[in-house]
Amino acid sequence: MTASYDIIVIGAGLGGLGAAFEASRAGRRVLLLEQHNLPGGFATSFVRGRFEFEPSLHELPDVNSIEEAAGTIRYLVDDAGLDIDFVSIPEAYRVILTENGTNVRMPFGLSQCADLIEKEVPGSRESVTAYLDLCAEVQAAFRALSGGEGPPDYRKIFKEHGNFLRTGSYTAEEVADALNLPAKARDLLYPYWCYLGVPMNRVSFTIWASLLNAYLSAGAVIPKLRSHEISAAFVRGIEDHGGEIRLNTRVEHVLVEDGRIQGVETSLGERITCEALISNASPTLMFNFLIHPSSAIPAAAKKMVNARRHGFSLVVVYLGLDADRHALGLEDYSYFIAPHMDTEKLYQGIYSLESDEIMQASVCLNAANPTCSPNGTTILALTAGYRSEAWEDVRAEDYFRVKTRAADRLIRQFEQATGTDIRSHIEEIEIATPQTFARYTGAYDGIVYGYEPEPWYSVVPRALSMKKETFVRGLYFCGGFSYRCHGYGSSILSGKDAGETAVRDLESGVTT
Amino acid sequence: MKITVRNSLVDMAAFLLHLRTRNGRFRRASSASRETGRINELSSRIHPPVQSFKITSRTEESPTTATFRMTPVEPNGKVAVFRAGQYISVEADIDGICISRPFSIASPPDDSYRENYYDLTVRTKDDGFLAPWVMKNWAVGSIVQTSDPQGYFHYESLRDLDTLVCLAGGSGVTPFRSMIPDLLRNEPDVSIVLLYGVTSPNEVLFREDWPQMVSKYPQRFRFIPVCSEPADDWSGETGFLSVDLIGRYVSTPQGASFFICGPSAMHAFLDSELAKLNLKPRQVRRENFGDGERKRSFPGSLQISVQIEGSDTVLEIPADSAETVLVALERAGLNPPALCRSGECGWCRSRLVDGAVYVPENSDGRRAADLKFGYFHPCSSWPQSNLAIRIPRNPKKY
Ligand SMILES: Cc1cc2nc3c(=O)[nH]c(=O)nc-3n(C[C@H](O)[C@H](O)[C@H](O)COP(=O)(O)OP(=O)(O)OC[C@H]3O[C@@H](n4cnc5c(N)ncnc54)[C@H](O)[C@@H]3O)c2cc1C
Ligand code: FES
Repeated sequence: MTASYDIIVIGAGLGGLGAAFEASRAGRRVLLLEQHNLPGGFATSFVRGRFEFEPSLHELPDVNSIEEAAGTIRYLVDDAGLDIDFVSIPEAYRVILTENGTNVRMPFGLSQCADLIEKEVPGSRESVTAYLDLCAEVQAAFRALSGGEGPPDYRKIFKEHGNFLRTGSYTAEEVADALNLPAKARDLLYPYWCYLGVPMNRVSFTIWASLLNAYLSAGAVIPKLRSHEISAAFVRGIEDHGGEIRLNTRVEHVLVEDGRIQGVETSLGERITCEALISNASPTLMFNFLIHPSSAIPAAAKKMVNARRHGFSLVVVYLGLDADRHALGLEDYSYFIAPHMDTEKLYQGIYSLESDEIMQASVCLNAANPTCSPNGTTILALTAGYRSEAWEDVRAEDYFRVKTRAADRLIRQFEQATGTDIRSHIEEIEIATPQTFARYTGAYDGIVYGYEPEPWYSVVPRALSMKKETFVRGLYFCGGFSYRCHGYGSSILSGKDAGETAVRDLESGVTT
Repeated sequence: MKITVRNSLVDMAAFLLHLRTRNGRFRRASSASRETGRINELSSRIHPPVQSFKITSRTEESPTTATFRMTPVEPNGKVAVFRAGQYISVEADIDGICISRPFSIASPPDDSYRENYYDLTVRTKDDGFLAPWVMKNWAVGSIVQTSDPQGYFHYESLRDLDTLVCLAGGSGVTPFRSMIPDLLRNEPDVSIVLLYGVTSPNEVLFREDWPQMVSKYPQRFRFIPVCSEPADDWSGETGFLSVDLIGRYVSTPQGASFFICGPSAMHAFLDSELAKLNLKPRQVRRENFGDGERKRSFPGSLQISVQIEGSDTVLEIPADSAETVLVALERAGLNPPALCRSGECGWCRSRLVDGAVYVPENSDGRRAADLKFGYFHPCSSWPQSNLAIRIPRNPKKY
């Protein structure tokens, strides 16, 4: 095999898989290099005893039903033609706020949500409906814009998507205030904030609105065989199109000369050249550790990395339980549990390992996927955001004790909020922390949630300045740290975009 | 409906100012390089890609068994942290063939960290390939390469009950020499019975350590050696580890967690014994010592066509239906990646392009999507026909 490729992709996370798929589908000679022994990055699975756990995915939004798929699902199944079976999530979520006694199951569907909130918060219908409609409009505009090529046509955007522009520079909180959204309605609508990881007083409304609408309006799905099914299907697709994958192969150096990508050096001592390089490793890793020689790293690139605020990481307690979910009283798929819905306070709480101001987003897999574990057993995963800073001072020697304590806290919070007994049914338990995510994906400080999308640096400004932010000719980024922000759908589509762009640039000779 | 947040002009202008805000922030930011992340550093203390050790002492435990104490070669190196009961995979180059085998860490974590060492106890009987070589070649001063600590055979306070029944056979007692003192010191609510099956009394390992632990924690620890071929002067328990025997030392097995470590034959026997107790799966943890064994089925000699990722060459290697695919790969000198050798860790995951393999149910750790897309674990798969496979490269350079 040759030591020269058109396109090298670093990292087989969802972004890298999408990029390698598109580039090989376009007929390019593609090499995908992954340091781990599995493809997928966060999108994988692991087996303990009788259970196969889903490590990350709670739900993939952007669907009407599996039959009339849209967005990411349509891309995966119809466009890319990948062999993935999806199952639907039954209802949006249950939100339990222990301080004010909120305990409500939210349905999918915008009008269903407005009905339910009207019941809980009489008189809220008008502002809630206006709010949800606005979110729908913003997502539609966002979709219409993100498909296009070249610089945006502001006149057109202004005419067709005025509200998108008018709200685009504000935080989610500012827009909710402008629409007089009642506090109690916010309690019910804000839980998804934890999927973005930025409190409502700082998060870009554009991003928030798109996410809320993507979930609530159309429902969500998960792959039947955990997200490893998505990754394995991508690998099959890449190979079918003639792309090549090497696992257990870490890129140690990205070689840059005269501001242009030359190739890579790997942990197995290979030197491989390429015309274009797509990185699923973050800009933080690229511009601090990967580019070689380090004198080839532009100062402006480091400034860009340092100007951004890195998002948070997570702690997950994976539980294989030895009883049926109905016997355990687990009637919902998704549980959002917190003392309250003051997102700024919850965000501050996760800087500390001792805080009780934590929110968990927990999933009973069997409620959507009844055959995911043997009869009479249940898979439950409790997830909470944590700033990596909270784990920085943990001594290696104390690590196992500390993570057991963090897990204990989440199990207690779950049991108290739901009135269930989980503890005496634990057959398998695994606890993931920022360290775990750093270990398996090499992510800087184990960060899962990319760069925080505040208004000044949300998707739109990122998209507008994408070209300026690669700094090196022939270099492209994809994945959770790239312009679409983190998340399954964003990572996959950012990979597709990067693959297509690199191929287009190669064809037009821009990269040289 | 037209939305106004502040007023329509400000709202529009704010949008157009986006890029200016961004540019300003970027300009003002520091251009300093980052250090390696603190969490990445923590990770390298828990899961370093390789560990290099120097052997500092060798203690003969029995005619066939020795304990090796090893400390990091690097002057400032520290042993990776671990959970009592975990193993490391030891690598060796024997006549040009790279192989690796898992060995439980036999020292408690606290001691290992304080004095920066691991103890590994190796017995020749259990493994026909690496252990005899180790016994012959490892001496004080030898340099040894190993993996990071691995495996799921460890106590978990959120899952396990306060009464622990530890069932060990032969060298399967080694993880307990780490786990039992660790629990006695750090988990005050836990009490432990160790039932330890040996063929003859002189095979009892760590024979001085157990009585010391008993005298220090008389209320919480009982040590019961069980001899299957006793001499006349043996006054202790005899026979195999059985439900009857367990019943003599554990009043309510239903309220206990069982940790079992030993050779395959012992596991097979205990599986049928424990079935009589109707334990819940959550009460039983197992660690299998030694590669699984199988009788030759089908034609003995088979062929495997192997492609290694990153190379176009296809190699034809011999295989045997009585040996795992992993062993065939190792014999052929292909240095395939492997850690647990019992199907559970997935480290040897490879593509099964063509052919049939047998995978015993109790060591089938394959992911569901891997079954769908044709991947398998060579360490727990026995060839049933000629095979075509593709294996990943071993990430470690030797
Ligand atoms: C617990 C958890 C729950 C989540 N829940 C959801 C959810 O419900 N919905 C949702 O949409 N998103 C969720 N996410 C987020 C989502 O998983 C990620 O945003 C997404 O998977 C990131 O994909 P990525 O393309 O950035 O690749 P990553 O998964 O970050 O993978 C990067 C890959 O690159 C490899 N790599 C890095 N450096 C190198 C190198 N130098 N050489 C070779 N290989 C390299 C890594 O090994 C890795 O495989 C969750 C994440 C976690 C951890
Ligand atoms: S080596 Fe662990 S599964 Fe094969």
